[in-house]
Amino acid sequence: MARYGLRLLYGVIVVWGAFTGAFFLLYVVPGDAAGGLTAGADGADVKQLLAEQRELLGLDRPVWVQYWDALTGALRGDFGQSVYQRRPAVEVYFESFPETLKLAFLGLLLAVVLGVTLSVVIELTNWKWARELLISLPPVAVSLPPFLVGLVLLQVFAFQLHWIKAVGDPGFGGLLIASAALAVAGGGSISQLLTANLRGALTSPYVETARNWGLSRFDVLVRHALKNAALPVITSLGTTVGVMVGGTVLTETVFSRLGVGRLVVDAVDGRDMPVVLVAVTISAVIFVVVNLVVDAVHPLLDKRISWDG
Amino acid sequence: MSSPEYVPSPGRQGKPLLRLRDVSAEFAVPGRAAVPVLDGVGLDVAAGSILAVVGESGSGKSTLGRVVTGTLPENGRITAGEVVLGGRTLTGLSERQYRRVRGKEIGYIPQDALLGLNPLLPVGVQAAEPLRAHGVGSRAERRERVLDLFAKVGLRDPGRLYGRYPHELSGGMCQRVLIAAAMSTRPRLLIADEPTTALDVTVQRTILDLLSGLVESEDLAILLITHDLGVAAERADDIAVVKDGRIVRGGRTAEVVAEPGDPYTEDLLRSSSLGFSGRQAATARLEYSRTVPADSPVVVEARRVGKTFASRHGSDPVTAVADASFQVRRGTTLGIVGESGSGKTTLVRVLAGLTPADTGSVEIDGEPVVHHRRGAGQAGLYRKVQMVYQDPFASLNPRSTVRAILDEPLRGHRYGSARERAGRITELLEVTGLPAALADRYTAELSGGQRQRVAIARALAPRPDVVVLDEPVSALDVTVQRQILGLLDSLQRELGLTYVFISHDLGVIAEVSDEIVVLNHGHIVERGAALDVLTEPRTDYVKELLTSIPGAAGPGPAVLVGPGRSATERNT
Repeated sequence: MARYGLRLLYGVIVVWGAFTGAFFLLYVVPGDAAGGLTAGADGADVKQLLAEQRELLGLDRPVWVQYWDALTGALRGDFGQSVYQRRPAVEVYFESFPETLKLAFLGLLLAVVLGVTLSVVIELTNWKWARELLISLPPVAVSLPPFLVGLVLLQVFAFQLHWIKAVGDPGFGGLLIASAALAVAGGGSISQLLTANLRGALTSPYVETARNWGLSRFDVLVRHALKNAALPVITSLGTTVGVMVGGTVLTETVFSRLGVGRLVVDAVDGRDMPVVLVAVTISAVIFVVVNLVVDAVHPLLDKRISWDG
Repeated sequence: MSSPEYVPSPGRQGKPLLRLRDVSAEFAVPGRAAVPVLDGVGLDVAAGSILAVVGESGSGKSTLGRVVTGTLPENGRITAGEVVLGGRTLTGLSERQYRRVRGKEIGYIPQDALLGLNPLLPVGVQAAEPLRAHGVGSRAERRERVLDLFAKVGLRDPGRLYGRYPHELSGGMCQRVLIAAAMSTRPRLLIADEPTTALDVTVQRTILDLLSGLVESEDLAILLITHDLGVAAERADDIAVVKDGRIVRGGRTAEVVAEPGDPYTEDLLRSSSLGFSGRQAATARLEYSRTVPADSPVVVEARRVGKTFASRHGSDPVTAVADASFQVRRGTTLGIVGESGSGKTTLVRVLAGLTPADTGSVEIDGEPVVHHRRGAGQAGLYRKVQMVYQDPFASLNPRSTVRAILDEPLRGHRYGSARERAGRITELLEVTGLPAALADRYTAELSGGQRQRVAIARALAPRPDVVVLDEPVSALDVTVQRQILGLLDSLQRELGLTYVFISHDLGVIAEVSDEIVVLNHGHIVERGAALDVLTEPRTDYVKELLTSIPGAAGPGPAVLVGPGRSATERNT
């Protein structure tokens, strides 16, 4: 377990790095929240107004003091107030969090289901041309820009079929279509990796043995090859989750859904430091936790791997 | 070509169980004419007998097995002839029909037992797969049958073993699990594709004993595919020697061994361990040993070398090598023999300065070997000791030309100008018997034998004093093995080289060694002049190793210790 403890330490360093990186990136970008608040004001006293707001928000203090305050506050779970909403940033964030969680989770689920199904179908297809066609799908899925996929789905399901509302459909249908847009790229990369691994697994001696036991092609594939081929894919899910987190921003924008993605874009625009820091920190925590879980699950799936020694 | 499901077998009495008639098969190669792999092969296997198909790699012997099980790769097809099992024609069956034969009437045992089992499923579940695939019994009944079979194939404590995973079992145990799986559906025919090649000799013998026993008790027919004529001669009732997809010699085992009547079969017989005699091998070597002066300086001196590896799961640490001491004189060969896990590889890694020893010391030419201290005057050591590895397919970069591979050690040891190095490369190719034109070929284009010659040339490049040979012929076909051993012998004579030769194969060790060290679980159990160890073994372990050599013990009295020669002994 000592190694797992070390991974935990790395995870903490990653989260801290993400927090610090976000803080200083936002700091060096021109403009600040005071500018956002006073935008539109004119007259001779604009400069004074700006200075007043700066002082109020504490932006006039040295950067190190600001950083230290933000960091120690974050460690206590207090990221400060959202500049625009005058409410705790954590509260603002978690208001829209469930929406995004649903989207990302369903997206991941769809990606896995689509990816695995496609790979299995590819291996079971006998017709050469159909097989070639299917094999070409995953790379295409990976290279399609997510907003394009979103726009096409929106065009088809909202404007042509009228199954969902074009703007912020609150029902399950809207959620499903949006997560499908998110799942295309993830499913493509899962299928690419899985198909390559299945190729390898299907030429291994234990598959030869299983064939000679009289197992059907489907049984050989699903009972013997798939599990072995899936191990690297499970590892890659750790990064797929990261892609999902990023993907929600675009998907939420295209489908006009009020989620974390939208919140973050608005917060960055307005230099709303507390909200940005909450979002970045929690995304980093999710990323680290998912990867730790993937690591922890591996020994359960493959008994050859153990955490000690 | 399709035949009815059930053909009444007219008078099965006296008819063979499996019959191949004029079977030809070919592999399609994109953009070229199809490559024939089998050409008019015909053979019969009777119930209750073993037929051995013997051949080297690429001879088509594995394809022969696949023709029977109907598992040719996608680009392969049977072009002529038919396969008949118990009166039923198998050729032309649809995949669905064939699946009912596979695993039900034909059992299959793969080559590498450890790789032949799915690493992610418990062995008990896997052994029940044939029953499940053919819908035999309920889950509980299948489990019951597997537990029965586990006991029958000699696995202890079947109940506990059932839930174990392949990596927790030894190679021999895995092979027993696979035999249990194959036997679970009570097949009439067993196809065993090199079933013991990956196993230690002593384990090999017990597995072959088990298979022979099944033939007796179950009236089973076995098609035994092997490269080892020794195994074939010891176990089979009939032998078919395959070369280039054709049966060049077939018949009763005793006849084939007594009168090969075919140059290729004779060659195989000569290269096999059949009728191996330790005395004879050691005596032949003695002629060379006598030419080495008795006061020849000691080149390698190991003093009480010990190496222990910390173990997982809090169990006791593993002793890889314990208290090993020996000397090697210039121009002689020390043979280190032991089974897998005996510590022989760890020992030579210590000799070459690749692994630090926990205790004891090693000196090469009177200089102590220090682990990984190139800066501290060890560059000399790395020049003086060179290694040749087991698998030339793995030890040579397939994306390098032969010239680049041979140039590397020369540059590493600062061997003269580009012109001098080029000259040295030509010289190296010449002494290792490779045509000069080979220099600019990629190693991927070379055969196994050619590759091992390149590996030897690479070892010789910096003019070493000691060459450590780690199983240098184990991955090669027997006839190629012979050529490489011949090359090593002549190089030793010409260049006065000192060899440390490691092998699991006592037959090979007997032939090349002046002195022998026998390792068992990290301990030296015997050490001495080759002739003494081979003819008067002091320990039971070495006696067992000697009798386990396939074909050596034979059905008659042991030919090893006594001066007499058995009738089957044909080693020359």
